Amino acid sequence: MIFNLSKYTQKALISTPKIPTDFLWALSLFFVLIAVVYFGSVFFFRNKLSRHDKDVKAKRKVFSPMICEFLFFEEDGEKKEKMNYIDLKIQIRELIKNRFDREVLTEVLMDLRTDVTGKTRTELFHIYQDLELHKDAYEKLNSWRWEMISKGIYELTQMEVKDSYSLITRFINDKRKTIRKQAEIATVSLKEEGINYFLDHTKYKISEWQQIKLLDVVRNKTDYQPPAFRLWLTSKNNDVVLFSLRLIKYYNQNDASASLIQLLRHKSDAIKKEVIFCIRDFNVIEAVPTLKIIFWKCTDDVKMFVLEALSHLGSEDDIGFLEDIMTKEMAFTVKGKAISALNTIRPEGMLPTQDIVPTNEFDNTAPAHVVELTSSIEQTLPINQKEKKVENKETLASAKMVIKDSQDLDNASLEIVQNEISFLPIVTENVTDTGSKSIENVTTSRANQADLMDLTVSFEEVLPLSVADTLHYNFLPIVTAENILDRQEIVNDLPVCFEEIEVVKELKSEQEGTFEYETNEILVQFEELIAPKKPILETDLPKKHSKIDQVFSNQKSKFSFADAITTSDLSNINVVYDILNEANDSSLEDGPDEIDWYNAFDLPKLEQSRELSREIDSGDEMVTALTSIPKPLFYDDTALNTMALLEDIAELGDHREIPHLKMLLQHETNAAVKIRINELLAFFTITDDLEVDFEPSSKEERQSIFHNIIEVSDLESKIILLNEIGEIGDAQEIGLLENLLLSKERKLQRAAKRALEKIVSRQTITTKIEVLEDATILKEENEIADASKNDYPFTVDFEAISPIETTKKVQDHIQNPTYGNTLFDHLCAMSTKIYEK
Amino acid sequence: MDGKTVLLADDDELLASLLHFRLKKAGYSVDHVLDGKEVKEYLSHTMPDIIVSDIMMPYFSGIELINYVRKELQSKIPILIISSAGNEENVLSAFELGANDFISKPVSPSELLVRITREVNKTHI
Repeated sequence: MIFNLSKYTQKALISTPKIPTDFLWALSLFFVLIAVVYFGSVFFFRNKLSRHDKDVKAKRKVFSPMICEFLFFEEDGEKKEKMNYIDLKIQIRELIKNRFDREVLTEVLMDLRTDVTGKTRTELFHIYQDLELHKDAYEKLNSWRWEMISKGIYELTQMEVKDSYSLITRFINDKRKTIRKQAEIATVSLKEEGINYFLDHTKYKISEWQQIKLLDVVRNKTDYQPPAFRLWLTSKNNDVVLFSLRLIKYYNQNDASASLIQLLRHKSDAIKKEVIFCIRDFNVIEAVPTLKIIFWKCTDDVKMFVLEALSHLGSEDDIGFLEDIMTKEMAFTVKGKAISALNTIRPEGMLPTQDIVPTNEFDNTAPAHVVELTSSIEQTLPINQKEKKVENKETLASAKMVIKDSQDLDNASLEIVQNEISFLPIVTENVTDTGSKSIENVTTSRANQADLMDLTVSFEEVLPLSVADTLHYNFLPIVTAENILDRQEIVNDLPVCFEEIEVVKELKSEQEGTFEYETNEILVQFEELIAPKKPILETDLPKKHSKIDQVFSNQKSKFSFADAITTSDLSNINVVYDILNEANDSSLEDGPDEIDWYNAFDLPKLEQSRELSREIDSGDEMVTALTSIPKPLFYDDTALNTMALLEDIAELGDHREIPHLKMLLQHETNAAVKIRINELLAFFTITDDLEVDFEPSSKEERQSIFHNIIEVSDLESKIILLNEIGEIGDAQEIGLLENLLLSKERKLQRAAKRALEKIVSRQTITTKIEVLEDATILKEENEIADASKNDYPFTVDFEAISPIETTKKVQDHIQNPTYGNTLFDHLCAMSTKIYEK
Repeated sequence: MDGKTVLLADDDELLASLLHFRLKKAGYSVDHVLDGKEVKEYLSHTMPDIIVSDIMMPYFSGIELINYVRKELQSKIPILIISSAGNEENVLSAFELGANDFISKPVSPSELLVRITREVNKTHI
């Protein structure tokens, strides 16, 4: 056990690598040495720099009083002062023999230059050149180091050494960006004509920042006479053109209108923008047509600038253009700018449209608190005024009612509730004529309200009893013969609801329960019938109701609520409604909530039942009337489902459903369902026959199945597809391939040609086989005929028939299981091939 | 301007020496201090005829100097501020606290001399 443990322990431990100690010591020493060198060098250079700083500081202290002496030396000073000046000059010349001293002196002068101005500064420049410090700068210009050249140029520029101009200009097109930029500024700074030289010679891009700096240099020049910058608008360098445009704008050089208009057509957006600024600022109205021309081809940014310019320069003539932009432009910002420009040209030309609520959505009626306020005021009014106010209110209410009725009488008739009609006034003919004319004005114009207030309206109060209830669409009106016969066409469209109801045998006198409902053109008579105490027989119904039969005899079309009744129809007829009080309320309540109107008003059945009733008893009209009333069809769940299925089949199915329908017919027990199935069977049989006539006469007339795929594919896919068509296509593809031969793509043409050739060759072979097959069959038939002639028994020698020569396609079909007969098989095979490729 | 003392407070030694030289040449007695601490120390024992101070100084800005002179020392000696260009807010603050005049960098020594002389003369009148 112990032995095993030690064995495992030995195995588990990782042995340490054997590194020689000498090597480790050597490595340690190496790193120590590196550290010493590093820290030593840091210390050395730090000391050197600080010593240099000290020296510079000391030298500056020496030089600064000297410089001050030089700067503020006056020629007309004292002799002592002059002697001192000469001594200092000798001293300083001695000092600047040393390069370091010269550098310090240059530094001092450069620093002072930034702090002082005026005469002192000029004197400073003079001292710099007088002490020949600029020669050091010249030497720097010849250096190979870019930073030295740059420093030299900077010194010369800052100390305004104009003689250095010619030396600096050669750096204007230097490859090194820093030197080039320094030279550009120096050239422009040192001489007035420097800007001309720069614009003439610069070949490189002028950055925005550089342009700003150059502009700053030019701007700070005293007594500067700028050249005509339009001269550089023809430059080949776009940045020169752009900078010139900016300078033109800065110096208001508005003598370049033609060039500006021309530059509107420039490719560069930056130039376009700058030109548009100039055009706007200089009020170049001649540029408006060009602005309009270039507008549609500009970017959205430039369009904004164009519109900005148009808003300044545009006139009434440009409104059409701006309106055009509003309709055609897609960019939201540009559209907004166009509206803004339009409003600038024609103030308030466009009014706000966003989130504006239409006027008709504002209700004229006052809010509740306002109504309360008016009612409280009314209480304080004298009695005669109150009466007048009541009259006005009622007039308005009736007017409102008439408008509502005339607008949507159908809905009103269905949705009317007791509260709405309880107050309904009956407006007499004279009054309504005047009123109806002014109704619309009343609602729209407050001015006409006063006229309406003066109208005299006679009210006849209609009792809010059961009229509203009986107007519910479930009620059963029986239209009397006199009026209906006169206007049969209209009544044919009436929405009449038939329910199984029991009506009274005896009718009360008309005088007792008739309500005359007279409006503008409608005269409705409600004839109240007393609810029966006992159920009545069909024979008890009055004779006059049989007339309804004639009404329905004209009903040929399907009944629907949508076209049930129109306002005009109702407004022009006088209908006498017999209100039948319900004998048994439960008969209505127990009825279905939703009635299948189509089935309920299955009119052919209605006619059938009518004919039946005629046959039963032609003398008993009441019975006929009752049989004319269709009864609702109620199915059990299974039948209902089957009917639903049949309806779906009727809508979506075709002749292929015939077997299924036949099967259904066998199993179905419900008579109505059976009838429906038979109807469908008959329908599909006829349809199938018709469809056969519309089959394409030849295969070629059919469109290739690849047509749609080819249309949406890219070139590569098209070529792959065409290869596949070549392999599996048939005569249907020939038309498509012929079209593709006309394609502009040569690859596509070639692929189509190959495919076409393959299909044509295959078709030829297939035709030969078919001919061969036909010949074989003919031969077979002949043999059979011969056999029958010879009274031989009916035997066919299959061996005798020569084997049919299989085509390549057929062989492929046999060998390759991916080939199939169906379209799906073709597509699968094709997609597999495409995927493999 | 014999005997008139100008306290020049500026941390830029080169400019200070230049102005010092110019004012001295014009007859002023110029005392130069480098920062706000030295200004306070100087003012604790000597009151010059005019103070010329840069707004931006270490430890004690020109604005604080004006506040110190006007509120703590209750002195009405003219104070002329030197500020760099684009520092209008500080200049306005300085005027609100009681600065008499200001001159912006780059400084024209001649112009500064004229302004100093004018302020000194005002005080004496």
